Amino acid sequence: MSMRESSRTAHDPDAATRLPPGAGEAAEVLRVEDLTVSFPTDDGLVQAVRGVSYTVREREVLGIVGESGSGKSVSSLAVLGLIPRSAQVTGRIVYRGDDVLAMSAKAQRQLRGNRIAMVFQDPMTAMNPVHTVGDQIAEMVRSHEPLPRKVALARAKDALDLVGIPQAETRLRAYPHEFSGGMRQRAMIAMAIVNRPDVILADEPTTALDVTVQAQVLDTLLEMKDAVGAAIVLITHDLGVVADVADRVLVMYAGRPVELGESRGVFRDPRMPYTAGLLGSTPSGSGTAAGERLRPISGNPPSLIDLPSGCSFHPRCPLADDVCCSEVPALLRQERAHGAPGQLHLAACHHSDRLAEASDPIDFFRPETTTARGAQR
Amino acid sequence: MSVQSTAELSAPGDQGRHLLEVRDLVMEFPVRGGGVLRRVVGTVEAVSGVSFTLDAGETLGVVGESGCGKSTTGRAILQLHTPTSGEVVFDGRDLTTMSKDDLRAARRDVQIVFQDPYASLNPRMPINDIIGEPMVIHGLHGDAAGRRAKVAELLTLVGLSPEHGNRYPHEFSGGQRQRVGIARALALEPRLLILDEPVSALDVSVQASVVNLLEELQERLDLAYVFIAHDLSIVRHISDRVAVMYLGRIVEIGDRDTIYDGAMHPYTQALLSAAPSGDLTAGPSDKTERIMLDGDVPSPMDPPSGCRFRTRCWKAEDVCAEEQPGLVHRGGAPGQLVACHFAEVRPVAAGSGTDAVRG
Repeated sequence: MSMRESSRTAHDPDAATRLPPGAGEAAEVLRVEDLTVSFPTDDGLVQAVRGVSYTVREREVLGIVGESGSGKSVSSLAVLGLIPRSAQVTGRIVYRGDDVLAMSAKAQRQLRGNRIAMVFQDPMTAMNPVHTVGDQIAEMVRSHEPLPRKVALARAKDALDLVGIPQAETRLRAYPHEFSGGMRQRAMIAMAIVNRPDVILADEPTTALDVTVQAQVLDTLLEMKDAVGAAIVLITHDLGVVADVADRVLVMYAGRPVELGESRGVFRDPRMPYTAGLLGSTPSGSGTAAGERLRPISGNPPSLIDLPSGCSFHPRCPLADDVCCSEVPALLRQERAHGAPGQLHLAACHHSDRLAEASDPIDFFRPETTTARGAQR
Repeated sequence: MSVQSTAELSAPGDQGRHLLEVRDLVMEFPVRGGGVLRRVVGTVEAVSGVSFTLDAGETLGVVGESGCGKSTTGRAILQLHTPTSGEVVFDGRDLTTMSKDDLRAARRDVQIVFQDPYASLNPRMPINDIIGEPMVIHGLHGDAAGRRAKVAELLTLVGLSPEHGNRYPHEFSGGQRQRVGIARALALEPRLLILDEPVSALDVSVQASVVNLLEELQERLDLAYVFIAHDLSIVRHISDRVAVMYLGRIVEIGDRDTIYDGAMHPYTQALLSAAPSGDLTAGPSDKTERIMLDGDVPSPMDPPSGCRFRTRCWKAEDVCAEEQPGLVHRGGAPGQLVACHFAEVRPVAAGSGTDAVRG
């Protein structure tokens, strides 16, 4: 407990971007530094991402969680340069020491799909319906290496074999609609790994799939991590998936990173009320026995055009006070009572010490009766 | 075809009749060819012989993967699809044989909440009219002023305020719209609600408040729920009993804890083991071994003979292809019915899973 009481140390500006301790063995492959993405619209500037920083090491799985509008997808699309030209992007995206945003369009193209690959949520819309699966994977190879079509197709077949698609030879000539949902998602993964990338960005890769198929596809993705030695950035809203497969987790809210750390540690001992609220909202995260109510976060996520002052979470936060309304909390290093010593845990909250002291941070969220609240009005 | 007898389905100790009794429900859809004549080239049996019971104030969770017939079952109960055969007995009366007028009257007691709160509310109607329309149809609550008062009461009941009644659906967030959908379903003071994936389209934090609302309403109004969902953790949270469906059939049904802790059907076991972590704060080693199913669900146009799960089942033997296993009590907990020739509780060895330590 004594360790927990001094739960914050002075803010180290590089803390979020530097390698987590114990990273000596694995090299850093991708670093995102203070990334912001805004979209000008007729109604005003949509601030989709506001200062996201993270690093990914070789063979690491980083989970990014958040609700819709949290900026989790936009931040990864920005890494690949897959956002509209009208978007205003600042910050640095560093791939093996080189700043991607400063590169020429040609150099960026060489990176995209080759060193950094993407797996999208919906393989039905991400694949071209009028080309065979084999041709689409082969195109991925040939756009980065001048190889004869036959050689590229052979690589495509190997990739399909690797992701566990039976009769890969025949399946090369099939069209996407001839695949089932799970098979299409495997083909997408095959396309992502065919050039043996260093980083795979997977944006909700299993959300559209059924539970048993989801398990298969997640396993395939993890096997590919070992097979080609890639790091995985897994974007999802499913805390259970993150708990199962991610080494570290980044929690985002309204475009900002609010908590970052080793995933089980963050879920066991959250230091940002939003993370605690997410856990309380999940039947499996709140530890609520049957018959007990869930602990939802009141209200709705804010509009990205008209963000609350100070901490964006303050209108929904049970711990909010005056300072939360006026000052944006910095991402600060948290001292932890358990977990690996030196394992980096960052949280952006003025009251993270109160969460650290609480026996169960979920208790800050009351299972309030929605009907009673309505009746008071 | 009927292997289930309804006597077996009644939980021991039940007195009197059930609020809802579904007997051997079959729902076939014609499949038409692509030609000009659109001739019927086959049928899809979306639901084949489903039977279960539900009591007042009880929640039956229905889980299964896409295409297993869980939504079709829900709609067939309401007669939104006319069942091919079988009975849907609500409060002692069979809905499938009722005249149109009787059915309309009976629907006062059975209402539905749909999955998509964006598609199920008319964008051109203010909330007052959306919630008031069922009352107009059924001639309830007198004149416009009476209805207005009832709508205000309903809005308050679901945690919105009466002033919201003049707004249009687009002015609401997803969670608020789902509350409007629930208020509309409650407008006729039903006794049974079919909840078809009511929270699947919502964000996690909003999901929780709608789930809480449903639980509160059930306690206050003694509603019975058929809660259809694919999210196993929410179903575990809200249900009293759970039915697991695979390719149009119930493969296992029983009390919530029986199903989640002592499942006997191989498919139930595989489904539960494939779900993402049940306990987010547990160490990775606490997770039990994952059962990986091969392949995909077969086409419902050409289902396997005998047991429909046999093509993906590690226990399958010849008998599974020849004989359809009935949904009967095969040991296990009281009231637990399993459709499997080789049903047994899977030994749960926490932490011993070979596949457990990952990441």
